[in-house]
Amino acid sequence: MRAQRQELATSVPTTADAARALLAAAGMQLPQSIGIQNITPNTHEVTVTEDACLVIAPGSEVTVTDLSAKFAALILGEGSIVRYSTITEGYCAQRFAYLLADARLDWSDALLRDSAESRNTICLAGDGADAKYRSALLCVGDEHCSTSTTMVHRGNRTASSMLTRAALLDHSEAKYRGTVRILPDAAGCDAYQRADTLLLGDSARMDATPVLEIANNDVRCTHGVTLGQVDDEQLFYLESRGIARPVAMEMVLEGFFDQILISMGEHGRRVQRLLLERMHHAPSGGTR
Amino acid sequence: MTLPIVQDITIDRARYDTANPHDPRFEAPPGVTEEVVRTISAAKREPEWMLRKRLAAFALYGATSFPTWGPDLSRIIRDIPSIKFFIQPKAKETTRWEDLPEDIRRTYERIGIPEAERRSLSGVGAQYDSEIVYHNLKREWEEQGVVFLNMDEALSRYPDLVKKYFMTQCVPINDHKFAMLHAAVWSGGTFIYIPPGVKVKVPLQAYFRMNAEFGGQFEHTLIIADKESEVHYIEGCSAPQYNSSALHAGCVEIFVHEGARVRYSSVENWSRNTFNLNTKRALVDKDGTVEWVNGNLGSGTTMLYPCSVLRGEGARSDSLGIAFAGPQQHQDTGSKVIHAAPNTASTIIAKSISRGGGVTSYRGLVKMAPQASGSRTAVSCDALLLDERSVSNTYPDMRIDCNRVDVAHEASVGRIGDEEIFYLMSRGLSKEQARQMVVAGFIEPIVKQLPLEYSVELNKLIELEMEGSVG
Repeated sequence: MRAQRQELATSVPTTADAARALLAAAGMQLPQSIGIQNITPNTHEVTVTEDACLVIAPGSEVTVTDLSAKFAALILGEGSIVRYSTITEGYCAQRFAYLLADARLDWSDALLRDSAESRNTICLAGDGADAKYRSALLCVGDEHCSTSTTMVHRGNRTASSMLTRAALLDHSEAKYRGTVRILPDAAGCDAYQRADTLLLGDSARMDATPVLEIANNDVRCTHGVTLGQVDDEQLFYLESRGIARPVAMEMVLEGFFDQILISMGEHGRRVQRLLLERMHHAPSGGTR
Repeated sequence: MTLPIVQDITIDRARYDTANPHDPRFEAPPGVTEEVVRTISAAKREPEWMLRKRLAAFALYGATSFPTWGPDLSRIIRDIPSIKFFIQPKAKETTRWEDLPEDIRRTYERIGIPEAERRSLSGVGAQYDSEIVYHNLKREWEEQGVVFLNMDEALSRYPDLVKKYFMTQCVPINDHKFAMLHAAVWSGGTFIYIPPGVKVKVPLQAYFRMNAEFGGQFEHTLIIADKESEVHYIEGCSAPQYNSSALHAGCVEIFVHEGARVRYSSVENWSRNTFNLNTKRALVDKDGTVEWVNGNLGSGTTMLYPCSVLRGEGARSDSLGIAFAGPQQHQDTGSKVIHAAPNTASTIIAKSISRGGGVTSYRGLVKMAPQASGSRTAVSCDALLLDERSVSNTYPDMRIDCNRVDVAHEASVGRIGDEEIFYLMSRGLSKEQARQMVVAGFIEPIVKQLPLEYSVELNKLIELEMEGSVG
């Protein structure tokens, strides 16, 4: 493992071949059809519309919005700060983020519509890198969604948090898999993982597997998973204030997702609108 | 509180690891063949249906491939042709301790079995290699209709009960590769039947000991707790240290009938050359409760996932587990609960400690079937890593097919906090003592559920194991 780590690049790649080599060493084969886009420190906003590999210059601060790419790779240069917003609607997306020293990634993902599948890997390669991954997932009718995110801690003192909130209506089904992997040479890491699911449909189903693979003892790593229904007391409280049950349910759901969306800024509001719209399209009308 | 300082950095396993001279009455040739299966069955003068069951299982075993997930099993797969699947000890089963041959008695005395029996047990059984050599049940329980026998004898004395319950609905013979192997070559083990309404106040205990080199132990434990009854059963296991592989593929089936309560405690302390590939499962009816207390300390590789199937309304399962992995050990353990009826409840508390490059994995499953409405579960896993070479993995799987349920899972992995150590050292403890105290506190919720002699043993084992190993 030690040898393998030395092979990994420790600075931002300057050529397309170097970027490919860096990703390959971390286990990601970048398809030849995808070119490398260099993002200079003067760029503050990038919108991705097709499969892409972005190399973000050290020290830059960028907002990346990705609404339709099925494949995306991001290489975050030293000390760069990236806000990354993705919406996966009804297709399978594969995304990869590679963080060099002290880079910070703040990623928010939303999964909607049938067969939405999000397969993400975040590699905290450089010392002091920090990644947050938040996702909101909503399934209605017979939809089936799945999300799988792997957080790999390679660098020392790297930190990560993963937070997922899912609401399943009607007969929908979802799969959640979140993996935190701390490699033997990564000391002083801190990892947190949490997934909460509301099962709102009578035959909604959820498979949740939060995985921890820890090979270094100098670590603080915790995870939590909950599955349940909307708290009757919360609904009763709202109803006692004259709010009809379906509206009350919607408010509770908004609150449930808000904890994730609130930190997403403009993107969060967009996701919220989408979620509410989808909820209204549910065969059951969204609430029972 | 004074904690002993022991200089030895490895566990003192001398009393477990020493083998007696191998002198069996009969042993089957190594490896598993149809001939061996027939030999075992004939040696036990089994009814025809049991032989057919064994042969069916053996055919399934041959047609099934080894599992490819979890720990590395390549060594035991290579060594299976050398394993002795059936070794009959020289001794005949007895109820008088004095009648046991000297060497077998010495083994158990070293482990402390007769001592424990005198002090606190309702009954005890001891298995040496493939067969039970000693068995005793206190008269008062016998009079109330409690049956505590070795499995072979139960088969001849209660054939109908055994036929109804033995590897039928709880762990069927086609369950998985090693359950198939177990069904083909099982020998010895414990049979317990508690009549309706009888509450056995003090624990029943069995102790399993593998003595032969390249040995295999395949004991079968079947516990039937009839309506409103209660029993606590304890198992302890050990084997001497050899350089060759040994295989333990036991099976425990527990039937908890309506309103009954079964507590099953086991401390498995096999030697490091043992592959412990064990199957344990309980079927719990309406308002029944099963409690699992599991300690896994020994063996090189363990794969053990005690499972509760809550099939009656209001059934409950509580599971407490501790796994300890030292150098070259891989403990792959976890609890499974299948909620298959309304208003069922389960809790799982799993703790693990890894040191010296050891690997502990928690691999669990909670399944809520569509009819499990009103059920709830809480799972909590904590892992302690004592040095930078050790590994902890957590793979909890939650499959929820019912919406009116409450599911919570939490896990944490960490090392002993510097602040905790500093606090204790500022109170005058040495660093070593402070670390031991933190570890003792970490496992305390489980240790206090074990019977006294086991909790003392567990604490001592972990203390010894910890010595000088951290810092």
